[in-house]
Amino acid sequence: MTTMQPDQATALGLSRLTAGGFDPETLDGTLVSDPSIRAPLVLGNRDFHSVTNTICGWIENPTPKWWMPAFAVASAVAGLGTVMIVFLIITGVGVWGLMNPVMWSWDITNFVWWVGIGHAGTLISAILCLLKQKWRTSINRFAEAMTIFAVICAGTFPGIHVGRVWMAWMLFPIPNANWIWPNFRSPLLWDVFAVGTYFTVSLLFWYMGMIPDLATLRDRAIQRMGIKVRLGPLGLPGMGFLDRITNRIELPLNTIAAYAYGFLSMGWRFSARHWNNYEKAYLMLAGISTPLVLSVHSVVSFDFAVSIIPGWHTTIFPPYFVAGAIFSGFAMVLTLLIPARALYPGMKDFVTARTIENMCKIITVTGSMVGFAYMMEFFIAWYGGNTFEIQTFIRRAFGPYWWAYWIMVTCNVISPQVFWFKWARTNIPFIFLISIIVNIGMWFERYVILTTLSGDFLPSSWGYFSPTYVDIFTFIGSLGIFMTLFLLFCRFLPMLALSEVKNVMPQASPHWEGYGHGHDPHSHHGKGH
Amino acid sequence: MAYDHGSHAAPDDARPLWGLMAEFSDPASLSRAAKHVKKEGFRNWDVYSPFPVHGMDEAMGLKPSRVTFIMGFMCLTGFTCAWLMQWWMGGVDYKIVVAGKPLFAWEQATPILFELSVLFSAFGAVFGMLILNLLPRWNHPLFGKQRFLRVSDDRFVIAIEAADPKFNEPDLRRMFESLGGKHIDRVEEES
Amino acid sequence: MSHAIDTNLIMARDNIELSEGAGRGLSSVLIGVGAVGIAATILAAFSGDEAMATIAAHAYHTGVMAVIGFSVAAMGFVMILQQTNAGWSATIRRQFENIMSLIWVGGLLFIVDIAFQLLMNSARHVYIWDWMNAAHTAGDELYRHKSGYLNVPFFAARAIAYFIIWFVLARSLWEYSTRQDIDGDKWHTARARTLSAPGLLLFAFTSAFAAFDWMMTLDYHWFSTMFGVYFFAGSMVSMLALGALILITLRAFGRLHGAFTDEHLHDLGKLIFAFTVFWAYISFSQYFLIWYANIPEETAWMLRRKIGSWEWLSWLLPIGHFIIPFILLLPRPMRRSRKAVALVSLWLIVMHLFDLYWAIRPEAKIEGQDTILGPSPIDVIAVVAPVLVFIGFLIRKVGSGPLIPLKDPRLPEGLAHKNYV
Repeated sequence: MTTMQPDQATALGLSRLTAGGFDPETLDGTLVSDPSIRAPLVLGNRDFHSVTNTICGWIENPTPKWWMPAFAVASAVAGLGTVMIVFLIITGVGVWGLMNPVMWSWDITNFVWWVGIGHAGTLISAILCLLKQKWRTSINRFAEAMTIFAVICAGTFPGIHVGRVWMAWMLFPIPNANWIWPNFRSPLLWDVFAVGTYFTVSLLFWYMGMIPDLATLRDRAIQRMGIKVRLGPLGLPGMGFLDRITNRIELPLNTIAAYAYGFLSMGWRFSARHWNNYEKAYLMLAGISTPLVLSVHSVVSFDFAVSIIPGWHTTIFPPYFVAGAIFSGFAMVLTLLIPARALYPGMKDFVTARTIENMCKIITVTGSMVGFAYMMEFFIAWYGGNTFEIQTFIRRAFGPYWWAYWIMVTCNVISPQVFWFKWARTNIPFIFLISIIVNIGMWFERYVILTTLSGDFLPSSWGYFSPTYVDIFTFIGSLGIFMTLFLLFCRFLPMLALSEVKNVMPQASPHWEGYGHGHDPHSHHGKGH
Repeated sequence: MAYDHGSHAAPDDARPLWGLMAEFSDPASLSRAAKHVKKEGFRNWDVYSPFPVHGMDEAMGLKPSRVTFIMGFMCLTGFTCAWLMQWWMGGVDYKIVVAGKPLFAWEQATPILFELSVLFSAFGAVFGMLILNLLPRWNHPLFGKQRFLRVSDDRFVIAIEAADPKFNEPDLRRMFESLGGKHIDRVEEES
Repeated sequence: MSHAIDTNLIMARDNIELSEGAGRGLSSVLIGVGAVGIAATILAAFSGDEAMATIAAHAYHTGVMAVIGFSVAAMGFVMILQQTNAGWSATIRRQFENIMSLIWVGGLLFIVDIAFQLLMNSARHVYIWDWMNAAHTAGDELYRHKSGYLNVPFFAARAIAYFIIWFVLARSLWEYSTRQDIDGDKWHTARARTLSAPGLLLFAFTSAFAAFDWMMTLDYHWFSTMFGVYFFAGSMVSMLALGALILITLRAFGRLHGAFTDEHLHDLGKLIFAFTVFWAYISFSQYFLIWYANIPEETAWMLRRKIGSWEWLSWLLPIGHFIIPFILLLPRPMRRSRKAVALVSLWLIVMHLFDLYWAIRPEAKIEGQDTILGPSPIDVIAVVAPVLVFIGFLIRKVGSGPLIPLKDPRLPEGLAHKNYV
């Protein structure tokens, strides 16, 4: 028995790891299974300054070579999506493959899929914050940004699905000349409130978390104020003439940055009296975001579950949708995080192998919950003895959409089970592959739920939905919108929560007197710079 | 904005004195110093750190944040608004039976009751935090000090204002020195 | 720094162990009173009229479900703590392991329950599981459809399987933890972690199907996919409340100084709060979806709880099981006050018993009649008696060994645990 603070225990574990060198079997040294050691959260023997330098450097350094081409592709795809949306608005919803009885299809599938993806961000920032999972600090900003962009994509679909988009304001309880109010008994109206609240609260949470980091960027830009920046080559393939022009342009970017970040950071000055209110507000925001994230996908599930359509009306829908949402969201975080981790220098020191492993475990847990719900649905469908219900489930698995059903089961239930094995949780390219498979599977889950509509109560009205090219390109376009926003975020905003990462470093503890106290020459600062 | 790019203020600066700041190298020495400053009975002083240092509230003797009360109030407001809105709009002003559901019932009102309570609470949290902190405020005497800008990176600063009744520059300098403070510097009011 | 923890003081024998034979008297009294209560219930069922018989049978079943819920939920909680490498809970985990290890008491009471039900079936023709009654199911098309699942041999096989799984899991987790007390091998913790992952999967399925089998099929026409989660949520609340009560009582007896601090209490309070909200979420969703869809095969179950005295009793659930504890546990100082948490915990255990009572007891009916059998005094005895027996054994268990895991590798972390915000 020793008398150690937890942070000291961390520091000790860290020093033990660095002293003995890395164990190749544990990748970067964080995958220790020894229960007496807490794996370090920040690698590379970094001090606070090197953390700031690395994270701010991603924004301040010249645009990485891959960024411009990636942005060009993403924004082109986003443009395609926008064209499709405009085409839909000026022509009518008929350009989609919707028909009777499948009057909802890809639009609602995409809506639920995108909202679900957003949920991981809130889970990481709120629920894991309440559970004091310190490893979340390296991914929460990233995931919150993803939440906001995903909800933007999600909100687009019901908006354009209403047909006459210029009437969309009638979704809100706004007094109008017709003296009518929205129907508060309709789950679709609850959706408006739930998704609207979710977007607003996520945005507030994200922004509030970013205020101190924006202030850091401000202070760094102030120190470089007046130094002009040459725009440099854009590096777009086949557009060499542009590079010759941009090579000559000099812009006062540092001054612009100082003012922009200065404005956005609201004059944050890192005062302890401010931190006192800030931390409380942050924790309380996490506290209310937790039931909020549960409620949002529950309300989305009500869209289906309050109806009396067989296969839709089942009481487990709310928690089952929430689990599925978190499942797909984590997959999307991994899909974005793994390339970013490879592309941004130094990011691997923050997003450690253990962080990735933990996320894999959450994917297995939530994937199994989804599998559990599938099983319960099937069991109760049979047990309930309702002929229509039984028929619906048989039709899902063996009817015209059997392929979608089995894609769903394979991707959602079977594929995440590979993460029971450690080699799968530590093999980064493999994880990337599984994360994409899970995303596909979760899209199909919503599609399978929707295809239930094709088998109406009357066999005479049975139909088969086929998407048109507008359906397909609107969906692909939403991916483009998402990626465009995301690339902009990576370029201009702090991708990692600076102050939070610093706070989980062992040096941040007021009791830390560990190896190389403070600026002691014996500390291993050399490597970090 | 007039930034004082020299790290040391000229002694003949005509601007009135705002306070005295001292830099500390790590959270541990900062905490020790803050405890000392509190014990000495200063009132107009503050600690600046790149992240919230654990236990600093206690060290400085800060009261628990009142942001929770603002949130509680906003939560009740949101709940009440949602209740009145759904009851009046759906149950009184525009009575129309849809799907045989009651015009107003707590069951069907719950989703929106919850969402609006959360929405209002979130506004209470973020804007309450800003109001309690008197932010946004884009100017501050400390922003004039080049060294202070490093607080957002890896420095820890304690600043005592000249407005404090116990403010006495030579004594304070000695106190900061004994606490291990470095780069003890005068901070002037903004011109 | 003043924050260094004096480990010697905390690990002193008189702080982490109860004195020899402590609580034995109380334990014997509780077990005795409980046994008398069970006997009285059975006696009442035999001597009373048919209504009394079915009421007593249902009420006793409620108590048994509560007891099983305590141990099973505690097992789930311990596995979650082990699986997530939780450090803060290292000092309080042993009490939840104590609750978990008493799964055999639940099993014993369940055997009594089944014997009691079988006796009632044969001697009085009173059935709590109507589908076991051939006279009742004759000509029932729905039963014919379900008979592949709802038949006595399969039902018995499932019950045995659940208990074997629970017993093996609880025993293994208990062994890892207590063996570590002796040999100090830190890898026991890693083994418990490895077991917990598949353990949680088994836990999810067994607890859900146990809830289906023992509670949902009391009305074998009715069904709800959520029911397993509903039972889990309620059991978690009551189990956490029970754990908090034990820990607070131990503090009151001068034990666990520095090991169970206000910080642990605070986090335990947060967990109780969180699961109260989770229970409300689950039970509201279940009720709401049935209310809104309004289809006869589902609403029948809810309607039975909206008739006669059940109507106002039903209101006790949202108010007593959610609103009151929600408001009481919301302010931070309340979650850090031992008295307040103890009071709310006690209240929540009572409320959980009532929740199960509300889910089980309205199913009591006299064959061939539509009479609503409202609450009766025998209910209180029949529900509380099994719980008293369990608490009696629990007191014995708590006193029988060290109150914290002595050599857990995360003990330093647990001792130093602090909520900063």
